[in-house]
Amino acid sequence: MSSQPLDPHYTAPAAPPPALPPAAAPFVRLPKSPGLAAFLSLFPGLGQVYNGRIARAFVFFFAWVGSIYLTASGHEFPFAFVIPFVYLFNIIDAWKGATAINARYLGGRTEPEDDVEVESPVWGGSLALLGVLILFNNLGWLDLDRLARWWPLLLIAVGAYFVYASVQKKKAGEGADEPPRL
Amino acid sequence: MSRPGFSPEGVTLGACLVALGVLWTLANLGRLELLPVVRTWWPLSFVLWGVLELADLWVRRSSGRS
Amino acid sequence: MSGRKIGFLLLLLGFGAVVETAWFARGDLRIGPEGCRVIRGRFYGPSYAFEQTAERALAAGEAPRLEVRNAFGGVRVTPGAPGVVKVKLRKVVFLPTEEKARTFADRIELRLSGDGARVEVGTNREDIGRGDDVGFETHLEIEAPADTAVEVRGEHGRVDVSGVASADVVSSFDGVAIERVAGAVKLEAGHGEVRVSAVGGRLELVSRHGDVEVSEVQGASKLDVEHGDLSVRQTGGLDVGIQYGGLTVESVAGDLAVRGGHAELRASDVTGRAELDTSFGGIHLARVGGEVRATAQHGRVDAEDVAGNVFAETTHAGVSLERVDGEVQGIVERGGIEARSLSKGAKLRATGGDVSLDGFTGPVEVEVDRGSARLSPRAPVASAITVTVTNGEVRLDVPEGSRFDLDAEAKRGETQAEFPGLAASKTEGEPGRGHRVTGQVGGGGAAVRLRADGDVVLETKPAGSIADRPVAKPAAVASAPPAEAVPTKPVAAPAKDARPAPEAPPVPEAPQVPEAPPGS
Repeated sequence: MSSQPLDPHYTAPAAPPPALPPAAAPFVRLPKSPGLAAFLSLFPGLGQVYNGRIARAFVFFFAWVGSIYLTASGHEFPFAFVIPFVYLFNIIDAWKGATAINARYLGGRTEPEDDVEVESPVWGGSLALLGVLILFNNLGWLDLDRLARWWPLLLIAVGAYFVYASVQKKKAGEGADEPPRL
Repeated sequence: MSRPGFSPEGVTLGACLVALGVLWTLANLGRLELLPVVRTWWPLSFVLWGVLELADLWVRRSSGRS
Repeated sequence: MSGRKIGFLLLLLGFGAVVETAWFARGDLRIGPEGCRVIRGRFYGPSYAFEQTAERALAAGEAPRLEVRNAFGGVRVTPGAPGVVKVKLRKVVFLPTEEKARTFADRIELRLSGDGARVEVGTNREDIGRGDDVGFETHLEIEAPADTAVEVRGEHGRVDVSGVASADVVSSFDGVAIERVAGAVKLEAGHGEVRVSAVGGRLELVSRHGDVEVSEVQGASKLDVEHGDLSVRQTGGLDVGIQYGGLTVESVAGDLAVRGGHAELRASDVTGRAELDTSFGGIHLARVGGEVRATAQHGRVDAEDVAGNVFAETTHAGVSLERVDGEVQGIVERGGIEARSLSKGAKLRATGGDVSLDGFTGPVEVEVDRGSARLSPRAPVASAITVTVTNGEVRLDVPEGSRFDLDAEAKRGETQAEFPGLAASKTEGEPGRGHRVTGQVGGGGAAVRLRADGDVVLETKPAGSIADRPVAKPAAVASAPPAEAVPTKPVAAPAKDARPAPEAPPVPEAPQVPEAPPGS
């Protein structure tokens, strides 16, 4: 039976408000567009500039231009193969760079990957050694041309270092699969 | 981001530019021949950079320990 | 490894590379023939010159032989008195004061040795060069008897040899000039301009990175040139390998063979056969007495006045022929063929271009893909003509008096063959659908078969409406007198066999006579 209010001052409550649609995920504006980065990389280096990695931009640009120059000046092998490789790698790198920046942004970090510090004295030592070798050659105290035939020893040294570092890492409990970073 | 230390590349680049500027000025004044001098001594830039990298590493390690 | 560090590393390496290149551009460290590390290029700064002379008598009865070894200085060999070799060594020392220069120059020795009729000339540069940082040049001026066989091994200095019996020269980083040699010449040169002229025997030449000029070689020549232009005038048989340079040949008494790459080839007045092959450059021939075989990748072939057969093949460019007395075969990929005045017919195949035959006689077979064919015989048609064209049309001019059996079909066009003389014609199909006309012209004769996707058009043309000019013959090579006579300059004999054409167009001129009196 219908219920009639006994109190004339009683006011039926208003209909409950309509249910809200389920909350949408908050809209996040990502800092970089991988697609745009890749598109800009059609001009080598521009995608990296967009990503804020200027040094990398220089590297790609000069690697590309340098390969073209060397190919054109008679060194078709191997630089003709380097040209497409550098070009494609630059596009992929720009895409991945932008994606990585976005991932870091979403993870709450803004520190760019490029600031990763060098953790080993090998880098500084190698630079100083390179400088000393070339300087001594220029001063006539060393004959780099004759020394150059021993270059495969470098490969041996680098390989041995990788092995050593991997073994050290394994001992320290970390994975031994990744080659050590310089 | 702040950390003890400096930028080895920045210092090296600056030092090299200063050195090149000094040498070039002296060459323009006829005190020396630029090309032979630069050609002999330019690898010092690598030596300087390498040493600064090692110094930077040392600084960071000691500040990390302390 | 951060991009910044890699970038800075590349920057430093690039700077180092620039500095080193700048250094080596004016001073290079390499091993020279003296077996020592020497600095290349021109020395600079104050210098002082000192001279030293010597001579050596030669044993009589034997042909003299001279062997010269030098670096960083010129070598000049000129004809001198018989029986003796005279040498002058000019030492140029780059030191700030004359006294220091003289002291140093006293250490530089002229080495003159040998046995019998063999003389060796050199210096003790190898002994001095090590450990010192003094730049010095050693210039040798040698007079040798005119019947001397000369051998020179030099670098970083000009080599000039003239008036000797034979020359064998290896030189680099400066120019070489060899002239008036009675016998054979062998030359290996690099990074310098080369000039060879008036050679009585064979010439063998290898040159890199320098332009080469060869003229008046009586014997056969074998030339190998890269990264430089080659110009050859008046030789016997000529064999050329050329890369990255242009070739210009005038007057070959014999056969011409050229293997080129990235080279534009031009040759005229070849009495024998001409076989040329190149890429990224064209072939241009005029007046060949024998057969022509020309192949150009990415380059055109032009030939005129050929007495023998012609085979021409090109890609990405066309073929143009004019006045050929022999049979013609042409294959062109991505280009057309233009031919005028072919006497013995032609077999032509072209894709991506038109074929045009003007004033021809003889049997003709033409295949064109993506292009049209236009044929205009010189005389009434009396030989077979077969033309097949896909994606194009065929036009044939029919001179009055022609006699042939016609079979013409236009697959998707129209066959137009209405002209007087065409009898008993039968038409099948209709325009646009296999329009075929067969019949006999002038009572029938040779088979003329025309097929095209487009129209097939036959039109009459009055006889003799196409002008004609006989094939011009190559001028024979002028002969230089033997070098023993030691003239100041050889006089070229007037060209033989140059017959003026019976008609108005003048015959191509004979090679220039260098000492012809003005006004002749």
